[in-house]
Amino acid sequence: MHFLRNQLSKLGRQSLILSERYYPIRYDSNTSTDEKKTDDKNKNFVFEKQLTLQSSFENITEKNRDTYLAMVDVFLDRDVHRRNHVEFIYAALKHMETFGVHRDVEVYKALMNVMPKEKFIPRNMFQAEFMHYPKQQQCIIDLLEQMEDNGVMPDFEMQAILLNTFGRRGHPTIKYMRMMYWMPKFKNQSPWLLPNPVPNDALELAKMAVKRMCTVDLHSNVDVYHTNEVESAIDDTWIVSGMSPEQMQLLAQHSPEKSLRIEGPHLIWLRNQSLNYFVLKGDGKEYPMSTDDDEDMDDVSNLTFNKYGWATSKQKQVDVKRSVHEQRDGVIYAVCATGTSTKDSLLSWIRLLEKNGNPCLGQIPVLFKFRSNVAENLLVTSS
Amino acid sequence: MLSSSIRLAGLRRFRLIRCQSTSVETKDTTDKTNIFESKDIKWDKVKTVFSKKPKNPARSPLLKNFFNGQFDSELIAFPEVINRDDMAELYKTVDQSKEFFRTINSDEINKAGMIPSDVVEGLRKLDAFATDVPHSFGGTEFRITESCLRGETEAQDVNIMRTLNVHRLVTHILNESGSDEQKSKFLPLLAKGDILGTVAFIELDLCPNGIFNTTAKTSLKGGDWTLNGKKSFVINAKNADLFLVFAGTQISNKCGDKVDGMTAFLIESDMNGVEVKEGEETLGCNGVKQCDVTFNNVELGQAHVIGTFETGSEVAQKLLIKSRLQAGILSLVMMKKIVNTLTKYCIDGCQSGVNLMELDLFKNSLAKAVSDIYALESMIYLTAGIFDDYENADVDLETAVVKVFAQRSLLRVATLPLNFMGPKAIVNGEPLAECLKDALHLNTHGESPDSLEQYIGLTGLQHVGLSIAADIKKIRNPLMNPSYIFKRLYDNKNIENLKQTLHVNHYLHPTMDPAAQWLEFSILRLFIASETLLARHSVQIMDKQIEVRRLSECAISTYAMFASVSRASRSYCIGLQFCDFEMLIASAFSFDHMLKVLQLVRDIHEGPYMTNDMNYVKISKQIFKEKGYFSIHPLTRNF
Repeated sequence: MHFLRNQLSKLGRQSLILSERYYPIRYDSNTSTDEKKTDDKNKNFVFEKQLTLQSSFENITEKNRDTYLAMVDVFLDRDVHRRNHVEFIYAALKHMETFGVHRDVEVYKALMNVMPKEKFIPRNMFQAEFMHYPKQQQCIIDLLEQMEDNGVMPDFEMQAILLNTFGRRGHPTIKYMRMMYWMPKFKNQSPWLLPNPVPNDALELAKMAVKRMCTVDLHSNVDVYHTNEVESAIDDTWIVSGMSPEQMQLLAQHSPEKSLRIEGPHLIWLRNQSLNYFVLKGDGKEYPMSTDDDEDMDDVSNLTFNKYGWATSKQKQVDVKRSVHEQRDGVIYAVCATGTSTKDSLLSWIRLLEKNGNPCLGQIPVLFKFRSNVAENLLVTSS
Repeated sequence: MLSSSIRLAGLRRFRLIRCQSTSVETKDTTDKTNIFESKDIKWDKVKTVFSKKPKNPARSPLLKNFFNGQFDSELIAFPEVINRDDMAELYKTVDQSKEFFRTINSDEINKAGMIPSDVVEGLRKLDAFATDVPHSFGGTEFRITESCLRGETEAQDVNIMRTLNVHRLVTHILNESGSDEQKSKFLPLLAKGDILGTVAFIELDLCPNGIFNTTAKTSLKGGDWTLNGKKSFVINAKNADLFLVFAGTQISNKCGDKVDGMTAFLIESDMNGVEVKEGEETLGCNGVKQCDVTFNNVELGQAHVIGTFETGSEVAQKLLIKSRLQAGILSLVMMKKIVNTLTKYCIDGCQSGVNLMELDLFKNSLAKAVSDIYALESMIYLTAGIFDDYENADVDLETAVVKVFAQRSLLRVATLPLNFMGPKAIVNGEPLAECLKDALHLNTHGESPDSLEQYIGLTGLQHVGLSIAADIKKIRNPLMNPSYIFKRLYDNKNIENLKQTLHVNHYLHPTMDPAAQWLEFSILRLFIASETLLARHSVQIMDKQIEVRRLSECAISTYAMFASVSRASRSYCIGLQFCDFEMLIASAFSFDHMLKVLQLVRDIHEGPYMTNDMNYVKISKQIFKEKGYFSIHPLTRNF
């Protein structure tokens, strides 16, 4: 027990250091070394110490990680008993999203550290079995649940905190163990794994999105164009365009009498970010019905194969094999995302495609077919 | 095992159909008639003029019938093509050739990258260029067996052999399929070696649709066709005057539709638009430069076509059959060379008081290599014998087997020195290192072993399909043919325990009894496997390359067993030197390959889901999706 207490005091210091790292300003004394940084707003915090907890999160005007952690520290420093810490944690959990910290494991750890150490550890099997300090345990379980819902994986420091708070048999610790079993298993399950978090840059996102959509065809190329390559372009933005050689071939075969459509904007989600994209589509190609009689697939009396090169039965196919780009509702020739998602940028896209290996686009009329309102160009929206 | 079978066999065998003894000599060697009336023949130049034994009437193909579970009892007696008097004459020329090749320094040829002119002159004197030209055009008109035997001496130098091979292919094809004008124009010159021929078949780049990138299209000016494209790895193109070019063409099929086909053209090197360029440097076989030949709007007329426009693939077939045997001979000689060198190394080598010769490991490797060589040698001469002995012999599959087996075993044997000698085996300029390089090079030349394997399997299945199509239809529609299915279930053939129904042992020396049984079981299993595959996949079998490869490997092993066993039996019956060891080699080889066939047929029987095939298909899908190796590094932490 003595050993554990030592550990705990060490951990307490550690968490203190942690909170200092994130939040270097002390409120209880004006003699702190960081006095210069103590501006009016921070003084405000000191003043707000007196307010009730629930409203305090709502009252803060600048909602970010620093202020959130400041709130936690304010609570810790208010009194040694940390009264109402369960209520505080619930209130803090509720406001996480508005502060934009709901995906931050460090913040969860800071909240968890609000709980006093050692006190809630069950000391015998009955305590362990009958949920020692149920309110507190449930509170941390809810905290872990919220982490899970937001896809935040706990780490080993959290394990240490939990062990020191609820012990090996505490329900939150067991919940933590389960999370650590399952969450790593699901972490990399996506066939199109994205970085976590996804970058904030729209261009990077667009590249990822188009690349992901282009995985249907292994030969696809993803190009990044800029509208200033087109003379008449009004918008000044980027275009991420995906097209495969097979699509180019299909486009070259497209009759200039039939028009093409730019359809969109469609929405694609990359983790929590969404992005608009457009596709260049045309009517499906009609293949003549095979005039051959259905071949008897059981007749092996006349096996013919290519003697030179690799033999396959492909030549015996009854029907033409459609490419993956030829869908029921039409042929998809290309896909793009532009920086502005305006009509003008899409026009630039078509001109750029024409310039880069699809001269036939010069003759084919292209129509817009939008699902929602799309701006003519950027100037219109900004004016 | 052998000794016990000798005792048993002695009691049991009364049905030895053909007693192979030295006294049986039915060939008429008397009529050395002069059937050649042509005035062109210089009789002093023609050294061996014998009446060729007339070919026997055609027989059904040997290996193809293995797939049907049948075997030809006459062919198991190992063909004796050359009669006794011819043999002596032949050995005279072979000895001359051997003598000549002893004087040749292969290292110098390899370094110089060309064959010196005095060597070419020597080859001319030996009539090396005339072997496939008929007497009437001043050639020596060798049969396949004879040219194989002679080839063995010439293959001492890989580069010379390859030069001669392509030349002989041109003369062979001209002789077989060329028109009379073409023959009289080129053959006498080719026979003397005044002009050299070569074959332009291989291309560097894959052709996405069609057979060749080199195409002949209907000409808009001058000739009948315009030839465009590039052929690579053309052996001896710098010195060649005549190219046998295979080009992709559009030919009409029976329905009148245009389909991709090929046509053989004979093109002189000085024609407009033909350009020979220095080719890529390759790993081995650098003694004779392989060049790229480009054809730029070469105008061709009817006189340039070999055979007819439509029959290009038949011409190619003839060419391939011969070239496969040539590849077999080349591999055979190289393997012998390697084994001889290694044996010497083992005899002399000694490490910390242990003589390498005494190590079981080396003994085993060498013995296996020797039995491979034995099987290959038997196969080559069996195939050549069938080709020479019978009218219109169908040896297409047999030659394919020879080539695949030759290349596979050559690669195996050529890597043996790496184990035996360590780094010494890869020192540049070491004869064994050169052999390894040449082996790697030869492995890529011509048809690749993998595609040939597919060819063997599919051709075999095609043949079986003809005879059991009706049964397959019934098996694939069980509800329509319940009685047939029940009957089939009743006499279900078990691949593990078979009954001897072919009685192969009746046609071999009684001592061969176990090996004969293994051979017979392999033939029967081959049939069961073919039937299983056709019943399972029907026409879709073309896409099941792994299954076809298994079947094909069975066929290769079975044919190799057949050839070894029949040769060993013949040798034992007529009492050749070391014939008892031949028996041992053949038995050992048969045992190994019987087990191999058994395992393969088991796998075929189990199907793609019980074997690992489907797992690998799944893995490959991910590889293509991720465009390469995809596993995350083992040191990665996930949390």
